[in-house]
Amino acid sequence: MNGWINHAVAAWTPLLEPLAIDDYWLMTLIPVAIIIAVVYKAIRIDDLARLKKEAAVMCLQILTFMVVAAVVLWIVTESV
Amino acid sequence: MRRSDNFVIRSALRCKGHPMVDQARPRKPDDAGDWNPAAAAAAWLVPGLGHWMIGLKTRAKIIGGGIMLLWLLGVLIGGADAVNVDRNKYWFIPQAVMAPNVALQAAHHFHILGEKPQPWEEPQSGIAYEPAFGRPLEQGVLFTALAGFLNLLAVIDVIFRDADAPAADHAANRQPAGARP
Repeated sequence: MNGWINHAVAAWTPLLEPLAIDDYWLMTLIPVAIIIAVVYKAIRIDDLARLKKEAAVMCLQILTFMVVAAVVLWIVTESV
Repeated sequence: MRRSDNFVIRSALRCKGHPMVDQARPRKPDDAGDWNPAAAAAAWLVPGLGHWMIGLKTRAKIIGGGIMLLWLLGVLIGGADAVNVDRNKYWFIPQAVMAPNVALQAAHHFHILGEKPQPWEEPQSGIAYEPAFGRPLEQGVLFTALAGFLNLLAVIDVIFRDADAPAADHAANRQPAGARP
């Protein structure tokens, strides 16, 4: 874990240089799913008391769909 | 039924010239209209500010914080190249729905930021940044575009929020329209 962080941010200037995430880019999809679920539910639901539960459900739905889509596309590309 | 649903239905009926539309909801003399344009413009300028202006402060913090965090992640991963209309023309369409992306593109356009030149090229004006390629560029562009899409949802929500009904973030705090405090 320390090696990954050192590799990604060694001599890195924020904004002026991209982050070296070529080997770890899949991990960035998890915070994306969480943020999209939280913001979308915060916009849509009437009562914010239900936000945590509904956002968690939506986040799981997004991640599940990503996995299913990846499997289907892998099958399609392997079978062609 | 949300006010936005009424607006859509009335607009559709109005296009067909339906005679019942204007009779169903007579316009009040002080009726400012169905929209909140100032709050919508504020929502484009600063994500979450539109909801803050119409009184939904908790919701504004969550929406604004989430969208800006997503945008910040995109800019940190992709660098200044995450928002560059010269390299990703069509991705700028969703990116332009939030002002921070437009500001970053303006920095490119007015040469406040300039791509770091190759050793055989002449130095360019502006603060030099390293161009992004491959996965960092993909993720940076995607994150900033997603932030724009989410801000579009927020702007549309602010536009059609019922300005007459008292706004409340929690159902327990909401009173019926017209109720005395």
